[in-house]
Amino acid sequence: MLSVQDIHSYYGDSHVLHGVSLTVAKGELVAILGRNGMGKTTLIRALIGFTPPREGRVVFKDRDVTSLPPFRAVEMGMGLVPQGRRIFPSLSVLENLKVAGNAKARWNLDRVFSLFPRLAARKAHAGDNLSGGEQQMLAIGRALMTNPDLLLLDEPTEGLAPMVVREVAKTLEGLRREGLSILLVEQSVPFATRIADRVHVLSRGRIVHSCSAAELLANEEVKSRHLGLGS
Amino acid sequence: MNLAHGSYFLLGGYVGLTTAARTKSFALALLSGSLAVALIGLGMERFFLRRLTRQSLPQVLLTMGFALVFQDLALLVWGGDPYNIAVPAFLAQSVQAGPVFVNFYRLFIIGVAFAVGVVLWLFLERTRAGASIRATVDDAEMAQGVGINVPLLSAGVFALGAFLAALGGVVGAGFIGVYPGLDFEVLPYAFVVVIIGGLGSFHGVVVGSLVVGLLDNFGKALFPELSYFTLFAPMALILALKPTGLFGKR
Repeated sequence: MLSVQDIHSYYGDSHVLHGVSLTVAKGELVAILGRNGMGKTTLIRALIGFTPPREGRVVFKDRDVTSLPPFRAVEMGMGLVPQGRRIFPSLSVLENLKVAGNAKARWNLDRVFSLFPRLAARKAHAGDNLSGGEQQMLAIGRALMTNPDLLLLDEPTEGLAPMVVREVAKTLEGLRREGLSILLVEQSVPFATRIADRVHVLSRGRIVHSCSAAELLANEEVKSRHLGLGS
Repeated sequence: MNLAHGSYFLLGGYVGLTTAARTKSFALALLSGSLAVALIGLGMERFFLRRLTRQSLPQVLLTMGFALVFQDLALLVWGGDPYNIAVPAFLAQSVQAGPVFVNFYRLFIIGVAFAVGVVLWLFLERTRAGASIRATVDDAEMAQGVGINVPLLSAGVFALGAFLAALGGVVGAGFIGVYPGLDFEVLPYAFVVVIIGGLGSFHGVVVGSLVVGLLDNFGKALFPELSYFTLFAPMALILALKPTGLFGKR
């Protein structure tokens, strides 16, 4: 589905990603864990094409998408749930979903509303007039409206109450069961290890550890050294 | 930031003028003037302005250059004399209502402005393309992130802006005429409207244009010696009190 090959990303002169490689297979849920400032958001921005990597390749569905404009990557089936949700504030909930929709309607408004009934109740609300949890659901719903085969999520639990986090986890598990591939970038180890098949630990722009979710939970050394979780 | 917007108004007027002289049709003048300038706008966006996204100062310099080139080209093609487009006979008459004479063409201008405003509003607020435009104004990067073809959309919006400026130019050519220097006469009005109303706000443009139109005309009639002052003083005041304009968010 997705193959990232040795990408290097920069912000201006600052070298943020130092040769990151990873793969996501069809129907797999892969999590990238790391603390703040380790390059997680940069990685997502490189994949979708907001900040194309200066070296290396991003191959999606056997096609090189490294320097494709972001809207083309989305058309090909990359869905993005960005950091901070980035709901369009001038648009209603309904419009936020509609602008993302396309003709190949595998996902449509009815399906999104049955997944998130709370959005249906608020469809006339302005996008900036929602709680954090509702905004996160809208951001996920909006990404689904683009009919993705691979969903990229950047810190979906940021700033959410524990109950809402559990709801997001259930939603993502449900989507994965339907065959969606998911690449998740997170700080929260419990959240990521609960739903992911495999995890990579990102530190200072490099992947320093790769293992299954269960193995990471048992590995105190990696957790304390790279994720700031002392035991 | 497009300093050639006044040039679109001027060129629309001139192209309309030539069409009206050749075909004797005011409707064709409106259509040809607007469409020709929309094409010019499309070319400018595609080959020049697209490279300067979010770089205000280079945009100002480039479009100022275009404005000067258009000014000289117009002088070369249409000469230095002022012209008026012949308007259809039924619009040229006046009717007396009590103590005042009402010119039909003035009513026609108000009608066109109103119709354009309503159609634009419906387009922006009620269609999916309109929602995509508002999403792009909110967050252009994220608009791409949900699959909106932002480069294509930007080109379309830019061409629509040129189309409307030129439409104004043809309509205006039947009233204030078309002549060298008109481009830089109308440009400040457009800027003051946007600054008062606020960037990126449709309501702002509606309110801003009413405020500017009324202030300018009553100002010129009541205090002719102050003329530009009645236009720019309110703008300075609004900039001081609310730098984003009445309805702007940025």
